[in-house]
Amino acid sequence: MRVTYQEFVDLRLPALLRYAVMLTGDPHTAQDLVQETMIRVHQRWRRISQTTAPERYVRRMLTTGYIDLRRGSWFSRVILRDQPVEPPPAPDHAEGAAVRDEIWLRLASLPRQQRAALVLRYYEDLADGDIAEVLGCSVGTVRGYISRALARLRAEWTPETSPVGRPQ
Amino acid sequence: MIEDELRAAFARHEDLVPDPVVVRGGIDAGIERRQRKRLRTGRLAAVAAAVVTLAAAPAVLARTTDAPLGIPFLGTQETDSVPSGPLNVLLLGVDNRQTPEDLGRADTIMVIHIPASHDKAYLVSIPKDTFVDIPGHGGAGTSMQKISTAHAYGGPALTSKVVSNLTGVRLDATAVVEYQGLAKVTDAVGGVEVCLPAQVRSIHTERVYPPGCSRFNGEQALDLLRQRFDLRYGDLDRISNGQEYLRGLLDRLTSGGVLGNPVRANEVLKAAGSAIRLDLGSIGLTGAVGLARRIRPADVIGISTAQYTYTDAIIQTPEGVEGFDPTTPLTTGLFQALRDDTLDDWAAEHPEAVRTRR
Repeated sequence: MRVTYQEFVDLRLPALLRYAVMLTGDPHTAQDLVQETMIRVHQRWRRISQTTAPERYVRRMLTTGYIDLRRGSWFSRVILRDQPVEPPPAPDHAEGAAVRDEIWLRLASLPRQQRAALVLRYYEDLADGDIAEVLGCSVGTVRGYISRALARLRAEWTPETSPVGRPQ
Repeated sequence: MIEDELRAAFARHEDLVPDPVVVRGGIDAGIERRQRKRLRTGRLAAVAAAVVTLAAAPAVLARTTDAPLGIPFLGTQETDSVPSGPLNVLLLGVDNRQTPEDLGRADTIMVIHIPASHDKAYLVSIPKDTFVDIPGHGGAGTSMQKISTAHAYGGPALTSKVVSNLTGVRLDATAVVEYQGLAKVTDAVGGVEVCLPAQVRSIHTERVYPPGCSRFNGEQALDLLRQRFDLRYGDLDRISNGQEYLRGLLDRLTSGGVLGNPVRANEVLKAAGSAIRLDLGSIGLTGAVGLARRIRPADVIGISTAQYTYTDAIIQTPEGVEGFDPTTPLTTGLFQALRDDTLDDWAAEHPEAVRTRR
């Protein structure tokens, strides 16, 4: 039986929001991304609901929306504001906590495909084949994204040398 | 390990997630905005030919709506106030030849059911030979009158009462279409594409319509809609063809850019003339416009229960007149689904009764 648009939103919205927060690093951008994506999903719902896995199709739409941010895509045209995607500055924690949040901040400096690949593997726990489907690339490319992204995170991550606070 | 730190970092930031309720509000508002924009840029969806014509030029409609049904004409308003909840519109097709004494039989009776989600329209056909009780005619409680005669006896009002009694749903609006009007509308939109599952030969004109999809002009469409004797399942196939025609008409109205263009819409309305009459009832003009914006031709779904229970449902009057028995489990289940607004589930459980666009 086909799911209605309303049922789909009821079921999937919380998970989509979490995913969007991990992608964008910021609740406001995540909200905008999800809202605009779901409006387009509503437009195309009949076709989408006939695919074998609508939630996969929608995740793909959302991910593409994130990757195309600020490249003159529909997303930025519709949103019409110039909010940067970087997260707000790290609050003044104790050093241990600050170091842990470093990783979160550094994610913002990654190219978006690399960040998306990390989120899909280490937050959504998808297999590489599924990640490749979401990103529309090969498994080899996915593994390339992930290894380069991890290398960047590792290289910059030494508790003694990294200053607390906003990157760059 | 960096991977573990990464997982932990993600988990830690789950408290950044915005409130889904708030986001939901934003999504719904965005959808509303987009639909208003669609109205302005002239791309409209449709529910049924009669209701759809409202969307373009309300002033022109005054002519077609002050008909025997006596509608209050509401005038234009800025906001589209669609009544909430499921809606049921009675659509009657009358093959004219009317005189003051004989209003003609309703050869086509459909309940257009719009579920509470307002995202699709079911065309629920009631075969014209369904046996019902017509109050004041044929003796009380006999239940052996064909439903098509209700219109001949008492016009749309009596038919509406009979359909309401039969199905148990309240009808929110009524549209009456004379076949001649459909023929003119068909030509006014440049022909309608209808897909036939099998060849149809007209007993009236001897023309043969091939299987598959073809473009029908007004005269051909009328010819097709009248055929039943030569069709394998008679009236049941005619019903299917009628539903296909309606969907094809909606497609022409939207893709042909008729609805958003007041000039074109006016032409089509003039072609229909008094052959299309509307009683908007509790839906009202603004409600109908609001609905027409939400439902696409592809979301119009045909339903007909007698299709595959042809022999099971046939009964005879003592005089030997044959007709359909509406008390079969399939049909009573359908009417229950109408009352409960669970047609989505019913349709999923009875795919044999459902016709969607090919």
